[in-house]
Amino acid sequence: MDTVWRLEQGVKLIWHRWDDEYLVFNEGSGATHLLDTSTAGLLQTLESSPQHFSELSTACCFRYPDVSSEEVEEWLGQSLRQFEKLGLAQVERAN
Amino acid sequence: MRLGEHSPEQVRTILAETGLILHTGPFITKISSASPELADGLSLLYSEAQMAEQAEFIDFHIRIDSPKSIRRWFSPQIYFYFDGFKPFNPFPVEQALPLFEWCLNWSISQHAHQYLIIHAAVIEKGGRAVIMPAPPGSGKSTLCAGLVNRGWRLLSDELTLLSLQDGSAVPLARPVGLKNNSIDVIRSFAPEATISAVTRDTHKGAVAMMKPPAESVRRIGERATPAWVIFPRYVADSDAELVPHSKAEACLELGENAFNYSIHGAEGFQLLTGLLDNCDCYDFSYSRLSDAVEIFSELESSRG
Repeated sequence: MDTVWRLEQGVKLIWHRWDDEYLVFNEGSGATHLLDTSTAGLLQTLESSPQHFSELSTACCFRYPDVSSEEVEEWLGQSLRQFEKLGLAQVERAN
Repeated sequence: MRLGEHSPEQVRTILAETGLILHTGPFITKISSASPELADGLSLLYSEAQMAEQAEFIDFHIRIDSPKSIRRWFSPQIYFYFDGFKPFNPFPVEQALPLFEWCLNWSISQHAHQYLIIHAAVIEKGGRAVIMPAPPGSGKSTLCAGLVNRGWRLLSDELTLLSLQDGSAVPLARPVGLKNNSIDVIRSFAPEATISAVTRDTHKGAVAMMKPPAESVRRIGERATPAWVIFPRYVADSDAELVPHSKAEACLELGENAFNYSIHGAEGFQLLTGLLDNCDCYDFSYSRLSDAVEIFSELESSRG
């Protein structure tokens, strides 16, 4: 079953970048997080709008053609679950 | 009028009767105590500090005194009072001077939220400041004490106050706390420095205070722009080494070392990221102060 991921309610992000390191401050929680380019891109995608897991997977496979789709989905799942653990994102079952 | 213009006897009297009101960096602190040891310590270490008028607004009211109980006759203790409240358990009476320093640090870190306050030393040369965050035992204060005896201006050995308006570092220029072996290290490195008597058996071991250089106190109104964030670490018998440090990780570490980052929220985040945009960041390991002086001098020269 597909899932929809979105920013957790109350999350408001402020970004700052140095080279390939991204810092993001969550005004909702007061926490500061350090992300690499890939996970920052993922969070910024969720920030723009809610995303189906399947759509995120397709976009990532397109972006990283040299990586197998299994590895992409594994990385995607781990990253999204980490966002959920940090209070940045939430998941709901798609209809 | 400087405190040093009063004799130690006069300082004892003022401290015990009306209270001593001093400019301590950007704050005005009123200190009251019947402890002659504290009075003599203040006379020694704060002789360059300006006294304030009774009519000026007082930021911190501090009293350090013994309870009026039978306890004062055996194992006498002293309490720290902040605005009339006792936030801590008592200390042995012989620890009056270090207790005052620790408690003034506590007062500032818990209440001066008009600044972003980081647990870090900060020194300056040529208008540019080095911020040195480090956990206890890393050699931060020893390094700070060494450098301010070799041409760097002391802003603080313990609390970096950053202006929320422009991120500049605000001087405190108070005594530098030395512990255990570092006391003899600084006595040997800077024999001209004034160091208080050693207080033993504190929770930090043996401690003493180094008087801030007179020029650092005279220039207390001069802020400095941070140009470097350096994470120092004493490593016995090592050669001095300066290694670049990630700005993003430095930002996280500054936030973790700040007393009030969570209070300032987005403003604190933007202050730190803006500060680091203009700073070079390094890890610095050393064992000899002479090596540290040379490395810091090269760093300062390289900025032009």
